Formats: sequence, C-alpha cells, structure tokens
Amino acid sequence: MKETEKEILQEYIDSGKNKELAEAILRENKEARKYFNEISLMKNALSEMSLEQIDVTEKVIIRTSRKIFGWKLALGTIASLVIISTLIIKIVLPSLQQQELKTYQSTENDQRYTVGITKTQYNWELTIKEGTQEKLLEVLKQNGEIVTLEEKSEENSKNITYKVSEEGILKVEEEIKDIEISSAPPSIEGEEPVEINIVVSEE
Amino acid sequence: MDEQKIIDGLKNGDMKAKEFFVRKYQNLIYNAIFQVLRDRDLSMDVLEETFIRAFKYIKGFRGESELSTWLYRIAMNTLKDEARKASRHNTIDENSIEDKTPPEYALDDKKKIIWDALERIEEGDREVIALVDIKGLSYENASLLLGIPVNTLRSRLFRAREKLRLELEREEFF
Repeated sequence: MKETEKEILQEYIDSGKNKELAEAILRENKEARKYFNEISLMKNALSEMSLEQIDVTEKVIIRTSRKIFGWKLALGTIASLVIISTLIIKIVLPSLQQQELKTYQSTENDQRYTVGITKTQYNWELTIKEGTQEKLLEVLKQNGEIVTLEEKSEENSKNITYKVSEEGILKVEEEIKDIEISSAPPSIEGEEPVEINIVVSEE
Repeated sequence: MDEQKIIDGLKNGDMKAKEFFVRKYQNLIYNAIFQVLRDRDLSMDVLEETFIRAFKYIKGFRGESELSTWLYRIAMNTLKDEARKASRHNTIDENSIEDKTPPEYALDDKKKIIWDALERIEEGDREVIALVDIKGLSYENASLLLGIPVNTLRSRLFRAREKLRLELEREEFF
C-alpha cells in the first residue's frame, strides 16, 4: 500500500475529503481496508483519551493579583526607603557632623589651646581655662558682651564658657594682637563654617 | 469577546479579559502540556505558570501570530523550563520522564495500551496526535496553534499516526 494512499485515507477519516478517491482505494485494496479500520479504531480510542475538564481561572487570577500586590508593596517599600534615606541625609547626618565637629573642637582646645570658640546660631561661645588669658577676659568684660554659660572643673583648673556676641568677637580680634582666628572646615560642602578656632599664644 | 478585545484587555490588565482568556484556552493548553509531561500535577503547575507568563509578556505581543499560537509557545517554553527545574531537583527528567502516573481513565485495559504506546513515541508526535485526535482540533486550528503550515501539520500527523499504529499493532491492539 502506497504512502499517498494512506494519507488520503487518513484525511478522509479526519474530514471526509477526497471521498471518491478514498472509496475507490478501499474497494480495490484489501490491505487499505485493514489500514482504514485500524486508523479509525485508533482515532476513536484516542478521542476517548481526552482529559477531564479543569479550571485554574481562580488560581491564576489570585496569583496575578498577588503579583500586582507584591509589586505595589515593593514599590511602597522602595519609596519609603528613599524618603527615610533623604531625611537621614538632610537632617540627621548634618546634625551628627556638627556634633562631631564640636567634639573635635573641644578635644583640640583641651589639649593644645587655652581658648575654644564655637559659633552658635546667634552667639559665640568661648571656653577659657580659668587663670589664663586675662587680657582676653579683660577685653571681653570691658565690652560688656560676655555672659557665663557654664563652668567645668578639671583637676587643678577650671574651664569657663562664655557666650559672646558677634561684636564682642570683633573687639577681641582688634585688641588682642596675639590672637589668631581661623575657620574650621565646613561641615558640609558649600555651607558656611559653623565653628571657628581661636588660638591665643601663651604668655 | 473577540480576539482583539481580549488582547487589548490583557494589555490593559483588565481582570475580565484575563478570566475570559484563561477559561477559553486552559483545557486546550492543559491537554497539550499533559500529553508531553504525562503528569497531572506538574501539568497543572505548568499551565498556571503559562498564564502568569502570558500576562507578563502580553505587552510584547504584536499580533504576528494567533493569540493561541503565542500562548501555546509560552506553554511549551514554560514546560521545558519547569522540566529543567524539576530535573535539577531530581523529581523529573527532562527527556525521560519517569513519574508518569496515568489518569484514571487509563486504568481501562484498552486505554492503558494506548497510554503506554503514546509513551513510546516521540514528544513531537504525541503533540500533534494530542491536538488533532485527542482534542479534536481541525488541521487548520492545530496548525495555527503550532504556528506551522497546514501541509506540514498533515505530514507530521501522518507520520505520528503511523508510529502509533505500529506500536499498537505490536501490542495486538487491533
């Protein structure tokens, strides 16, 4: 039996096409009839192999919604992180840096200088070891600009912090020749320095 | 709902379009997957994953093929990925699937012979037989689904049936 005859018979079984041709083959060929019966039987048996109807619609829709929710949650989390990071960079870090700068200032003052100075928002604060820098104190007192802020005792000496106005600092600069005022590095690039060191030569 | 409406709806994330799409194609795709994998649970997993991927990639669908052909390709790719994943976990082998529990219908002697014979022919042959003889698709619809010309489908089907017929003959099915 030819392959083309088999194809014709198969298509005839599937769709009824080439009816006359198929019937002619079947009439004339016993082997073709056997083939026709086998293919028909096989096709019938296969059609009964179809699986039960399934329905995954709900599962798929739930999974899709969960994915969308997951994306929203992830975006929300990222947005929150960005906001928190911005707040940290803009608010918390500068204040920490300022704190660090002040610590540095006070350490430097304690070890190397007898006068430490920090510019606050409206005033200057000067820390002076008691019994030193009498000339400086005199200038400050004469200008009536100083207010004692706090006193801190250390073994045999005492540090006194004075609050001084902008004008007072200018007087100090004018009258004390040995004094050297230098700006501390800015805490953040582009910002004005918030602290100034004053170095007074020991007499 | 016509096909363009489904596509537009899917692209816009419309839930009704998604539901319609799943309901329309799930049994067809499931049968195709099952005839390759021959494992009910795994086939269900692949089917679900197929639709999830379809929703994900629908924006890239340009209408160059039928929606069913596109979905069928996603299903076959998903099937390969899942089989590969499963074989890494030693639960299934990509080429020689061991865990093939026949469905209940195959407990019938005659159907069991067909089930086993289908097992012995190649995956590609099983694929066309599943679409035309098991799911009852016309040559035109099956060729659209597979993305091949009707004549190619006809010859593939002819060869596949011949192989299956010989297997069944060997088992004295006729």
